[in-house]
Amino acid sequence: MHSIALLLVMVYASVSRLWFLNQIPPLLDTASYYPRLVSAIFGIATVAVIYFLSKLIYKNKRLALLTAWVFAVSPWSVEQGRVISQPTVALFCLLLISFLFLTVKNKIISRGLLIITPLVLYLTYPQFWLFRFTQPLPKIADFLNNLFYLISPEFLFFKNTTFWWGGVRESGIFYLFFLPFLLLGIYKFYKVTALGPAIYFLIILLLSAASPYFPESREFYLAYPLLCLIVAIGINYWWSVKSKISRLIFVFLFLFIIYDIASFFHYYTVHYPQQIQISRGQINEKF
Amino acid sequence: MKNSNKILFWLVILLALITRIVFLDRIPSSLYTDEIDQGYNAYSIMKTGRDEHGVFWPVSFRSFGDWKPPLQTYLMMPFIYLFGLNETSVRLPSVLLGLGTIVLTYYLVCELFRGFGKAEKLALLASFFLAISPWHILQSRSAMLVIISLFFLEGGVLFFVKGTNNSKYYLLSAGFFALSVYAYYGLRVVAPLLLLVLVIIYRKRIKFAHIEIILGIAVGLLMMLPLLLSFRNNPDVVFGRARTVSVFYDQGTKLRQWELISQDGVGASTLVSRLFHNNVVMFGRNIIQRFLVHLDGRYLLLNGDHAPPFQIPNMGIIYPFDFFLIIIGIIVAYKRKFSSRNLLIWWLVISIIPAAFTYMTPAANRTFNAVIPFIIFPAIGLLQLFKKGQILRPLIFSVIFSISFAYFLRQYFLVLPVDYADWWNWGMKETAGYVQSVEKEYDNIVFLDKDGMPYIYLLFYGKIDPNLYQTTALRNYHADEFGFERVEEFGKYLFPDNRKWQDEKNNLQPKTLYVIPAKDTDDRMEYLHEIRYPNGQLKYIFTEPNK
Repeated sequence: MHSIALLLVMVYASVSRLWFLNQIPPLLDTASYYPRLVSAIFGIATVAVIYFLSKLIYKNKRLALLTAWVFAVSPWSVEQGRVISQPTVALFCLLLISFLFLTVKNKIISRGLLIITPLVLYLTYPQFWLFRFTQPLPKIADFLNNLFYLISPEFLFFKNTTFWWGGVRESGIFYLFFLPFLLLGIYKFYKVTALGPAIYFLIILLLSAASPYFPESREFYLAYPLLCLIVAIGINYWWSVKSKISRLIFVFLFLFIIYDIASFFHYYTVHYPQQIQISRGQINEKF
Repeated sequence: MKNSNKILFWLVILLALITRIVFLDRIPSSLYTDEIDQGYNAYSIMKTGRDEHGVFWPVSFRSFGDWKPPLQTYLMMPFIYLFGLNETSVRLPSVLLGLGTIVLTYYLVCELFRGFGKAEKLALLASFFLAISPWHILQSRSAMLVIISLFFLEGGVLFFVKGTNNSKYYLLSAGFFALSVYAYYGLRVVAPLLLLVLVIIYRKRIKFAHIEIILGIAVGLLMMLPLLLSFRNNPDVVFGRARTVSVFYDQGTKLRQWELISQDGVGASTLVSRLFHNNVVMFGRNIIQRFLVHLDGRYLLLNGDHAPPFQIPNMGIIYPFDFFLIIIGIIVAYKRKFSSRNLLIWWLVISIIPAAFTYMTPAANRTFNAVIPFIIFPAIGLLQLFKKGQILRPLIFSVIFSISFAYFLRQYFLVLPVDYADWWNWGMKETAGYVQSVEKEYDNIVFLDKDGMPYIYLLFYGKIDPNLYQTTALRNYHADEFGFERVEEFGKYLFPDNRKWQDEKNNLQPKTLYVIPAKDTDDRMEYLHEIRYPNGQLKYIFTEPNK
């Protein structure tokens, strides 16, 4: 049953990332297609890695499946999988290294994996601001503003800063109806997982907020699977409550999420291309 | 209360009193338009029994067309009678009821956490947090309605909860709830919803057939009767500016909807457009977004309200440590299954609802009732972090509190009055003083400033006879796009609408003094007098035809 569900998630991830990849978002330069395809492939593969890594860590197939599903359908991962995106490749590599690190028994290989991680990050994500430190760091007030922006409801559910890299203006990095699950997931987070992921999230959050190129930077994407995990924890817990009212609300919320997904694709396929056409003159980078 | 706790409690009250009463007449640096209007109307009622519009003891003050709830105005009357028409008299009800909310908070927390061994300590901590809350201090030092409404709302909740043990308190609760709706418009949504939540949460403890409950409902309805009767004649009495500040009045969402439907294209299915760009979705998302912006760390900790005068320069409405303590407090409240946890969450949610339906968000004023859960949760969080016999943690927290509180005091008492005096309409008192000292030399005095309702400052600081004003004021009752109505003239003072210095300068009338906003003039212009902000920036200049 889980295998079929995983297959469906992978099919969804593939279709949502490959379908009309050469048209949406509009290609301003035909040379961008193949780099875009690389992002799509790594984006799809990331879904699979998230599933196996979650299963390995939490020993809970349903939670792993839910995490993979949340990542596969969420707006930001779909958007990043359809444009030239260094963070998508870097995220895949980081997750794969984590998976190998946890499965490999040989200490030398484990240590080797740890040593090569920064190199892999550098090679896959040279745009990461730590590797191109040419501008001054933001002031403390700006840093705090960036920090709270990244965890603000506005960024999470309503507006996407990364417009030029595949963001739909009317969409946050999550669907609005993920909110109850996200809150519940935060509440249950410590029961499910150790402190490590929380510390990783915090480091990425602080680094993202400290970026001199903020908001024109995407380092926070490296923490995105953790947010998906929190949502999945919320969904998993909610479903495990065996009360009729709770289940009824759950079903309603899921119907709204389906509506949210449909709405996102409407914006992404109808309005976003038009926004790009209108703003062509201001786009300076390939995407 | 234990003796040691008693001492701490009175220390908290003393701290609250000092932070709320010192320099009350000077900080905030001027009476804001809404404050001064209530002050003059209280004076007018005292002298004539009628408000500035000539209405006899109104249940809602028409004011500038924004129909202010009456309670704060009526509460000012004894102070104006005792101390005269001045800044202190206008703001004293806020100070006293602000202190009252701190006392009520202590008893409310004791009541809500009855059975919890550390209830008294928790209550003391909550009172302390309220005493040093920037949000609460800001509101306690100004007559902006919400501090009054919070006092009566909190009283209503406290006596309701007490009523579940001793039903005679229901009468008091009904009285407090009824008075709260006379204090602030938002309470006409918040009070009934919170009452409903209380009934649902405490349904097992309420004896619905008790005579006190029936009497309570009767008392509540009786107290609401004047408002309901006035509503029959004029719905504005109940709704005030709700229409003109509502999200549905704002054209931004409608324009975006129109743009999106146009982008869908002529050939697109109307079903698709209706499905994704319908009113329910467009406005629903807008309202939810406006609701959630009140939980944004940038608003709470860094920037606060964007709209003056509800701002403290360069800081939010809560302290940074509060943010983390709130999260800990909520988690602890649910982990330990405190019986009041749901009430506090609902209190927070309901407090934000009225603001979510307005297009001016985030709004510190409209969501002010949220200050109670926002101080009780950190108190729970802090209590959890402190263990008996520990020294280091309390020491660290004391240092953090002291630095944060000192920063707030600096921003509020030193920076705000000098660098941001314009937020509180500074200079109007000085303007009124000057023009009234020279008015005998002129036939007319023309104010070429649309903002700030200068007429009310002239009435207040000139202590103009309300009878004279009511009979000579000229106003056309034409509301602008924000619902405000303006006075055109009274006595020799003229307030022409939409007239600027550029329009008037070539057509100056003899024996007329012109009051001109400095931003509308050129630097080389000669003038009789000037008013400058404390930071040296020019506010008004005064000139006459032969200058």
